[in-house]
Amino acid sequence: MNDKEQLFTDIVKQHKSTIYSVCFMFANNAHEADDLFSEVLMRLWQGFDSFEQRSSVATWVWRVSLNTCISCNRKSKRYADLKVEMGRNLFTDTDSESRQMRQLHDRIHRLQPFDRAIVLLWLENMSYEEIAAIVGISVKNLSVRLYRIKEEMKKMSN
Amino acid sequence: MNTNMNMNSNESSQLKELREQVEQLRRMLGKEEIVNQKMMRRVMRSKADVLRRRSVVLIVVAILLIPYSLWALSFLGLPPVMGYVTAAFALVAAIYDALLLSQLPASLFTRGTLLEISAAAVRYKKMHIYWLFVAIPFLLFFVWMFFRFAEGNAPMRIGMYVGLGVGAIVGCRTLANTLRTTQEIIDQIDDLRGSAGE
Repeated sequence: MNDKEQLFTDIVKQHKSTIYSVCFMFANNAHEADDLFSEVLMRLWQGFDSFEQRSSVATWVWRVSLNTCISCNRKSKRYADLKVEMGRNLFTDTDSESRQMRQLHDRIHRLQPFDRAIVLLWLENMSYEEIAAIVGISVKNLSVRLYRIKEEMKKMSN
Repeated sequence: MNTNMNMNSNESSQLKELREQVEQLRRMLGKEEIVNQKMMRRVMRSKADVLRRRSVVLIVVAILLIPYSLWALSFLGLPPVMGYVTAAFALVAAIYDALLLSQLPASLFTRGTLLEISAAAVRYKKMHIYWLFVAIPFLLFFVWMFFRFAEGNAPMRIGMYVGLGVGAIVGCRTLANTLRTTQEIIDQIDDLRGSAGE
């Protein structure tokens, strides 16, 4: 493995939980989550050379993961042979942890895709500026959307 | 004011709960390995192909042993019952090997779930071990009968020792390799499923 591949592998290992948690929240089942995961990894690899480190690696990973999941054509089987997955199926495993994660998934999944992205970033305790930079909207716009999202989630809980 | 405070504290507790769940999700995923299941299945399938080829060879040898034992043992002047018993054992061995062969079809590795593959591999391994309960008594019986009827016939005894020795080495090695290869398949699946601490 050359230096570039090693560096990429290290980045993926370090941020795998970020990438897969995003894919999990945007997918309807395990196959979709795995497809999204493979697609995200592919896009990260394709964009690796042009990543100029103007933002942090974590921010870049979030941006690519969210953009991929929001816009991805889920019927695409381009990377069938390269399909990777995590060694756990959160959609069908019957242990209590997996069931809790499915409840979390159901709550977040009810939101529109773009709102899901905002909520996931917000739950990571990121600042409004960081969230706005990742999703590509102004801070003011973000505040308004976030307020609306919180109201919507409150209604869902009630 | 009280209602507002209650609403705010409800929102805080909901938010706190969501944040904790997200943190828990990331912790769970942090422990998992990224795998290319297709590649892993190819590796397991190639191991299963080795086991299937071995079973085919054993079936062919067992089938050939049926007429050979009937001819060879009577040619050596041994009682016919030995030939019949050996032929019957060879027939049972051939049928059992065919049954073993059916436990690991190629389609299982492409279409089966990991749990199904693991269960089949465990079953395959157990069946090999159960076979020892048939094979060992037969071998002891065969050796006893041979010694009994080959008394005073030194060349025959020497031939038997050589045959036994070679047979024992080949048999033990084949069994050990088969059990090891099967265990590798089981371990690969366990690694995948066990990383979550199941």
